[in-house]
Amino acid sequence: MLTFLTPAFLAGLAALAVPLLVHLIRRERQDAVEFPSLMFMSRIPQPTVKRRTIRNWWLFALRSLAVILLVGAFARPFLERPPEAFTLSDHAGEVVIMVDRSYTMGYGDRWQRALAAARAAVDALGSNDRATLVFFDTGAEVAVSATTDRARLRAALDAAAPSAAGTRLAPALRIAEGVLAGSDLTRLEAVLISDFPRTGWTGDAGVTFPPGALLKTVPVLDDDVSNLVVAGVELERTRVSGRERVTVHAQLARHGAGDGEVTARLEVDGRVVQSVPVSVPAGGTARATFPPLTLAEAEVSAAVRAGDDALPADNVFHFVLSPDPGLRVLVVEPSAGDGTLYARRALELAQEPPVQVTVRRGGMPSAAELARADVVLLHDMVPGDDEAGRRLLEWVGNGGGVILAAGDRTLTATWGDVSRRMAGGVPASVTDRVDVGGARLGYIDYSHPVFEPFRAPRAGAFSAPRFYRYRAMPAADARTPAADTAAPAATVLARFDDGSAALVERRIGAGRVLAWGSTLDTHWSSLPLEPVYLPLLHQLVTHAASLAAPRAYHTAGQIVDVGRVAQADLLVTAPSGQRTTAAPGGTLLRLAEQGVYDVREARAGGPTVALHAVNVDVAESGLVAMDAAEVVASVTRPRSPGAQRASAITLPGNEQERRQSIWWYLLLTAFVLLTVEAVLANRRSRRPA
Amino acid sequence: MRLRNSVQPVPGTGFIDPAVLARIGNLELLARTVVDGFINGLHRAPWLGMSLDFAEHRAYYPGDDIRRIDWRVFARTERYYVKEFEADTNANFMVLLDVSRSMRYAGTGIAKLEYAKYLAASLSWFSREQRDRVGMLSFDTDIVDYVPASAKHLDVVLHTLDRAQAERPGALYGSLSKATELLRRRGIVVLISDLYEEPERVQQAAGLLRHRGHDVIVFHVLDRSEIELDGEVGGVALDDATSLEDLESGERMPVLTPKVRERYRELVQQHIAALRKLLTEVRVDYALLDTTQPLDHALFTYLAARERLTRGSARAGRR
Repeated sequence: MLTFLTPAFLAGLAALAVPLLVHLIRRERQDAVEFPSLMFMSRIPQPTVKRRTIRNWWLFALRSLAVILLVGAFARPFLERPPEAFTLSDHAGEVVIMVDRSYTMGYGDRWQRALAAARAAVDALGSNDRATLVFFDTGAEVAVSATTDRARLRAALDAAAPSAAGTRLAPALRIAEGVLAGSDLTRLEAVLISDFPRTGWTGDAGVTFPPGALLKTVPVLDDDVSNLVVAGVELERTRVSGRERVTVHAQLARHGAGDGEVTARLEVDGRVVQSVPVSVPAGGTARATFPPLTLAEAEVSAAVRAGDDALPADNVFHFVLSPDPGLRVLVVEPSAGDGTLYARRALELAQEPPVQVTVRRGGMPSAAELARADVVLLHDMVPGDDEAGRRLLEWVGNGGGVILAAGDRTLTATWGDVSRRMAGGVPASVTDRVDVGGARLGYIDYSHPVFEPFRAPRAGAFSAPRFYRYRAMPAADARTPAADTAAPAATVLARFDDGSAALVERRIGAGRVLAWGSTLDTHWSSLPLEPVYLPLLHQLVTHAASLAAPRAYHTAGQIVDVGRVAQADLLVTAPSGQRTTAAPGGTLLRLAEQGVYDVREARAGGPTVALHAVNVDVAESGLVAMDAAEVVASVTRPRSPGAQRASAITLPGNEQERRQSIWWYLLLTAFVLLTVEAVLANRRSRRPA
Repeated sequence: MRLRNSVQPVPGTGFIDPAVLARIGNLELLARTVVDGFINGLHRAPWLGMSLDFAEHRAYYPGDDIRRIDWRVFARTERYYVKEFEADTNANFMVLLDVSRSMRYAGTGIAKLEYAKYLAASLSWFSREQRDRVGMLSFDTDIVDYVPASAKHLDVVLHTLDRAQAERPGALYGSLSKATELLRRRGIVVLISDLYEEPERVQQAAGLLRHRGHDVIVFHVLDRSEIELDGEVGGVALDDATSLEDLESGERMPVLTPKVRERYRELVQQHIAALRKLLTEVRVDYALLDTTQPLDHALFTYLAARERLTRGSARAGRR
C-alpha cells in the first residue's frame, strides 16, 4: 500500500491551480508595444474571459503532471510492505557510538583520533546493523538516532566539534542504556570514545546495560601530558581618591613536565595591557599579580593568558571587571545619645562592598532620604503609625532593607500597627541577665546566608559575646498578643540560650526586615567588643539589602538569568557571534561557549546590560585518566543462559522510505517533464500564429 | 493579398535597400545616390530630354513667330510650316510630408518617417534635375514647415526634411485644406503619409488639391508589420501576449489573439482597396509603399505622373 512519510506536503497539490490559471487566464506583457494607430483594432470586438477555454491541452497536461510529481516527491511516498519484506537479519546489531566532545578532547590531536575511531566504528557496522550516534560532555545528546544509514552518521561526525564543557560519562551511558534496552535486535553493543578523565566518572551513576550488551571503550590518551592552566583570578579592590582600583591576581598551575618560566598577560577589551613573568614549577602552582587598574566604566571584559600548549582552551581565563556599586546605609538613632558609634565605625570599614553611612537623629527618614538608601538601621527606635512610618513600610515592600535593633526605647507600648507589621509582632519585655553574667547565643542557623561565612571552624566565635539585656523578638512560634496572624511567619536565625529569638528575618514584599533583640552598642551586650561584630554587621546589611554581587566569571555549562534586571528586549551575542534574543523578566541562558557573552538591549545602539565571562572547567585540566575498564565493569553484566531475543523486526516507515527512495525517481521524472515543457513552450512561443 | 506580392521592384534598376540608405547621414547625398542610380538604370528610357525634343509641324498662321518657320520644309513644299517642340515645363513640385507621431513607427525596417524623408528628398532631387521648382510642406494637425516652390530651394527643402520630427498627432484633412490655400500655382503635389484617416476623408483632402488643378500623387507609406501584424516589433514578438499602445492617442488594446490579428489584416486590406478606388475616382495616383521596399518604385510612379502632366499641359496649350 502506498503511504506517505510527510503527507502534509500533499497540500501542495493546490499548486495545480497555477498551470490551470496560466492556461485559462489571458497572458499580457507588462510593457505594451507601441503601434502607429489602433484605428482598425478598435473596430474588432475583443474576446472576453468567459469565452475562454483551456488552450494547449498537452502543455497543460505536462505542467500539471510535473506539479503532481513534485508534490509527490516532497511527500516522500513508500510502499508499506509486510514485516517479512523488510526485516533485519538474525545477526543484526544495535550499536550506540558515544563520542566525548569535552574541551579536553581538544588536547593535541585527540579530537581527530576520536573522530577516526568513531568512523572506524561506523565502517565496522554490518549491513543490517543499526547505529545511534551520541555526543556528550557534561550532558549528552543524540546526534543521529537509530539508523542503518551510514552516510548520516558520517555527516554528523564531520559536523561535530569539541565544546567548552567538561566531561560526564553518565549521561551518555544512560542514553545508551535506554537505546539498548529498547532494542529488539540480537546483538547489543556500545562504543565509548573518550579521554576518560577521572572527574568524569563517579561510579554511582546507576547505569546498567541489558544482559549481554557489550561496551567497547576507546581511550584517547597521550603518554606524555604537559599542560599549563590559568586556574582562576582573584580581584582585590581598593579605593584611591574616591576611585576604585582593582588588582588582578591570576592562579596558574602546571600539570606534567615543562619549562618553569611563562609570561602571564592581562587583556582588557581584547588588548594586552600588562604582562608579568611567572615561574610555574612542574606539577606546581604560581600566582601572577598584575599592577592595579583603575576602573573607569562598568562591565569591561578582561582575560589572563599564559602559555601556549596543546590544550589552548585552559590557557586563558575570562572575567568581567566592573566597579563595586557599594552599599548605602542610613543609620537612624534617637536624638539623644550616641549608641550607633560602634555600628557606624564597623560599617565604614567594609571593603566588599564598600558601605556609605549616613546618620539621622530623631524621627523616621524622609522620602528623599529613603530614595538614597539601600538599608535603614533603626537603632533603638520604632516606626510609628504616622505617614513616615507607612512610608518606611512601603519602601521595604518595594525592596528596601531594615535592621531593627531593640533597646531601652523600644517599649512594648510604642509598637503600633506599622512596627508590628514590620517585625511580625511585638517583642517581649526586657530580659535582664546581668545577674548571671549575661546570656549567650544558644542557637545559630549556619545555613542562612547571614551566618554561612561563619560555618567553618574558627570562622567566628559567637560563644564569646555576653548579652546582659535583651528583648525576645516575635517569632513564628511566639504567641504574642498582637501577633499579625495574616503576615508570614518570621524565620529565626539565632536564639539566646534561653530559647528566645535573638535575630529574626521577615520578608515584606520585595524587601526584608531583620530584627535584632539587643542593642548594637555596649550598653546591653559585649558584642561590639568581639571580633565577630564587624563581619556580622557586614553580613546583616548585605543580606538586608538583598545584595548579590555579580559574578566575575562562570564555568561553561552554567545557566544564568539574563533578563532578570532588564526592562526591554535583550540581544545576547555568544563568543562565536551567534545571536539570540531574550525577553525581560527572566530568560535562562545556558553558557555553552568559552569567552564572553554580550547582553545588550535589542534596539539599535542599545547599551550593554551585562557581560558574562565563561571559562572551561579547570578541574579536568590535569588530564588524569581513569581506567576505562572500571566503567565497563560498572555498567555491563553477562547474559543469562537460555535467554533469547527476537530477531525479526519491522523497519520503521522512514527506514522503508529511505530504502525505496521513490521520491528520487519522482523528482527526476518531474525534472525531465519540465525540461520538455520548457523546450516545447519555447518553440511554440516562437512559432508565428 | 500580401504586399510583397503586390509590389515588385523593376528588374534591371539599381535597387538600394532603405536600410542601407539609412546609413547615409547626408540627405542630399542620399537623394543623389538614389536618383543617379535610377537614371543610370533608365538610360534608354523615352522620357529623357523631352523638354527640347521636336514634336510636330503645323501650318503657319499670321502672328506666329517667323523664327519658328521651318525653312527646309518651305524649300521642299513652298508652304510655311512652323516647328513645334515639347513644352519646357518648369513645373512646380511640392512634397506634402505627414509628420504625425504615427510616422515615427519603425516595425520591421527603418522608421516610416525616415523612409518618407528619403523618398521626398529623392523626388525633390529628381525634379530639380528636370529643372522643376521644388518646395515642401510638412504637417501633422497643422502645417509645421512650409518651403515655397522655387528653382533655388532644393537645399532648403533637403534641410527642412532633414530636421523634420514626428512629435504630435495628425489630422490629414484639416492640414491639407490649409495647404491647398498655400499652393495656388498648379503643379505636381506628392503626398507622403500613412493615411490613418477614413478613405472618404482622404479622398476629400486629395480632391481639394485636385480641384486646384494640381496633379496629385499619393504615396501610402506603411511598415510591413502594420499590414500583416506579424513578426517582431522592437524585439517583442507580436503574439498572444502582446498588447498594443496607440502612438498618437496612448490608447491600449489588451491582447492579440489569432482571430483578432486575422480580422485586422482584413480591415487593412479593405482600407487600402478603398483608398485606391476612391483616389482613382478623383484622378489621383495612389501607390502603396512599405518601408523595406527600394525607392525606385516610387520614382517610376512619379515619372509616369509627370509625363501625364506634361502631355496634358501640352494638349491644353494647343487647345
